[in-house]
Amino acid sequence: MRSLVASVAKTLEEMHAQQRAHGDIEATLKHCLNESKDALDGENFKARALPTDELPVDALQDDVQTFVACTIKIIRGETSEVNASFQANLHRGGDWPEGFLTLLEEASTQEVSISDLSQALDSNSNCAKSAEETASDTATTTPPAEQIETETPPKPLTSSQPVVKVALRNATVGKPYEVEPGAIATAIATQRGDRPEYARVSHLQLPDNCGLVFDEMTGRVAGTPTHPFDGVLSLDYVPSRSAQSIPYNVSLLINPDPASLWKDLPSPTNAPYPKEPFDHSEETQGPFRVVAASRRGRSHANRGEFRDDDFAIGYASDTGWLVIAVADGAGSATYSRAGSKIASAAAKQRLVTVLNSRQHNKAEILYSQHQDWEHPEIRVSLCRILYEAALKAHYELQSEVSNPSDPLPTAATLRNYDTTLIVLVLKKINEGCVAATFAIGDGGAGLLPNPEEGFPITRPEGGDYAGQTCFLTMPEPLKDNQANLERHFHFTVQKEFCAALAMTDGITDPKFPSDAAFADPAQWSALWTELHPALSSSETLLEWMNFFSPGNHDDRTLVAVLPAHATSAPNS
Amino acid sequence: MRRLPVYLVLDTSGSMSGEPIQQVKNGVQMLVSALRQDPQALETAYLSIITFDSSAREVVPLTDLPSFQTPDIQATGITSMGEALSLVADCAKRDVVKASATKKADWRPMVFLMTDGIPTDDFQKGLTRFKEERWGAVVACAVDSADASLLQQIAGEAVVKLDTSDSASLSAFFKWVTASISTSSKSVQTTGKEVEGLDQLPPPPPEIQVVV
Repeated sequence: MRSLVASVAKTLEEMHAQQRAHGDIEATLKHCLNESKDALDGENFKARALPTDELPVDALQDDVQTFVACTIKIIRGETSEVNASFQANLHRGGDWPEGFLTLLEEASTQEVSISDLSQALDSNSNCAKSAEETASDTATTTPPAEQIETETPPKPLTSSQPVVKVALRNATVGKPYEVEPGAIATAIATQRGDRPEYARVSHLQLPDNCGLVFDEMTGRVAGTPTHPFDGVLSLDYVPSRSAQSIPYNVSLLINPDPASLWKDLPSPTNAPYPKEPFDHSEETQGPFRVVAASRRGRSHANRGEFRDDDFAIGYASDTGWLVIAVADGAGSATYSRAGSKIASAAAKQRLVTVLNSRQHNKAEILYSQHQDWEHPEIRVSLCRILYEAALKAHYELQSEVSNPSDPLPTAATLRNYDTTLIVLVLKKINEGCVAATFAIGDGGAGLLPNPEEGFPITRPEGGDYAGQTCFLTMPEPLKDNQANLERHFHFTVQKEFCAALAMTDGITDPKFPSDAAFADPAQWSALWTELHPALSSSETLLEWMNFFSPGNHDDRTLVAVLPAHATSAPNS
Repeated sequence: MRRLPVYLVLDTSGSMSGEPIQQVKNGVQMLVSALRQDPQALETAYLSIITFDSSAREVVPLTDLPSFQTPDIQATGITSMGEALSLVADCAKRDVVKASATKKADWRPMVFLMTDGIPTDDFQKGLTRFKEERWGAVVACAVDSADASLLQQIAGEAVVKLDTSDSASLSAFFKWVTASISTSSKSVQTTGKEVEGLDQLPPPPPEIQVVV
């Protein structure tokens, strides 16, 4: 406190000598009184001066009076108005230089100059200063303020500070983070009742190497966190431009990177129907190149569960029909991994047999009659062929229930094999193609005539609330009536052919977040742009399918059909 | 992304003051910390806190777990449970996304209601409003003197009882709520199956009795 007063006195003296105007002495010193600490010093005070104005000579004595009155308040630990009868308490200042106190006493009755006061303060300031430092450095030592005034003790330095609870916005490892300049100071100022425009945070102790940086000039916190953290950070808060800093704590949470929380546990080794977590294949069949991959989702890997997805690829070489089946076993069904495998294999097998037979492939027979793939009867015939393949798959599951191919601990029910099924058949015609699908449950298929546009060739399924899907094991989706068949069947003839994709919902959910997106040609084109470079091999496709999408951790299966001549090298 | 909305409806009336309200606060803190370690819950579960005393308030609107900050809750006043039921229904109606052409639906919201008192307001009015919304699992927890039979009107069979509002049982309750949210997150993410009743939730710990 004395060093403050001495510093202010010295500055005043200098400024008086130059007859320069300066900041409000009373405000300056009152500020010190209120802040209880020597945040203001002469330099600070000088910085507030108005260098261009000249101070009238007759104002000098007013300055001295103001200075004296305020200093007395400091000595007495008062923050109220000056009490004229200050002498009684004056000497309780203890460590103040005797000559300075005498001058203060005289100031009420005779003229003293600021330089007299300044010199008097300097006279034994060294000993006074060291005494003060000792007092404030040692917590157990009674602070000098209490020696000064016991009746009205000054505000204690820490316990009187308002309680402030500030939590920084939560951060996440790997995600860019920012606390806007001044936001922390504003939050504290608001809780304390300070004016936020003058408040600032001079220091914030962030965890070491956390990836975040605090800018002391602006009060901005920014960066990309590298490590999780949950705790409090200490900071220095400065309530106003020239005030002493006050320590506070703010809390900060840095979430872990969600991707790092997933475990990759092996599937059981002794369970029925074991299935590898990954499967992929790459083949050329007639005019088609087929790249397929299937991988266990994070949600299953996290719990050491099996992959429930499956796929099957076949080719009717005599007639040129390619057959794709993808199936997604229901996570809630015990043996759905077998359900998807059996269903996709059975449907594929049935379709290859029927489509390859000049006798049974009614579509080919009709085409030879009408020479037009868009003839309505061809559509109807393909619908029947595909429906019967789905039905065949359903019966195959029923026979698996009565006669399991793997020994089961207890008898299974059909619903233990719950699975979706999408079958896609495709024939190349000139530069284009004929394609038909039959789909039960979610997931989907699409066709891209060229890289710029694509469209779905299955219908989206959706209930009012999420999670309502139907399965091949249910009787309703297989009802043999026109309305039901139309719901699950799709047929198209295209003059161009770039690619056909069949996917389980592990891919369609993240890539087509809504039914509208699923129907949007641009979204299909965007998927193609992303996917195309990954189709150079089934391994690269499998790797691409490991993309991270929050909330989408189901098994993922994708079968891509391309023209056999197509280059799969990245084109951009 | 399909969210799993979770509403914690907490009694903050005067009878909860002191140790119990502190335990509730700790419980919420623990619940959030634990769920943040569960990758499925972290992404799927969205948490809202509604408190009721002399009035009901949405203290924390539906918030994803990474952004969630545990609020400061004080216990004071009487037990406006009816108002709380109306409020949670209004919040769910406003928050929960239904399927549309451009958005996938949220999962049906879970509600965990905890009270140690008897409603002091128009309970039936709130109950009627509450029943208008479509809920997933609704669990009510009767602490000490709360009327379990009244809570059965809200939660059906899913009413549990804590003998005393001491730290062990309240902490056990929040652990169980945490496990229930985890289970539900897993269920919706891996099987698309929503949890609706007590029998689909993890078994409650011994500190919690199921009221039948």
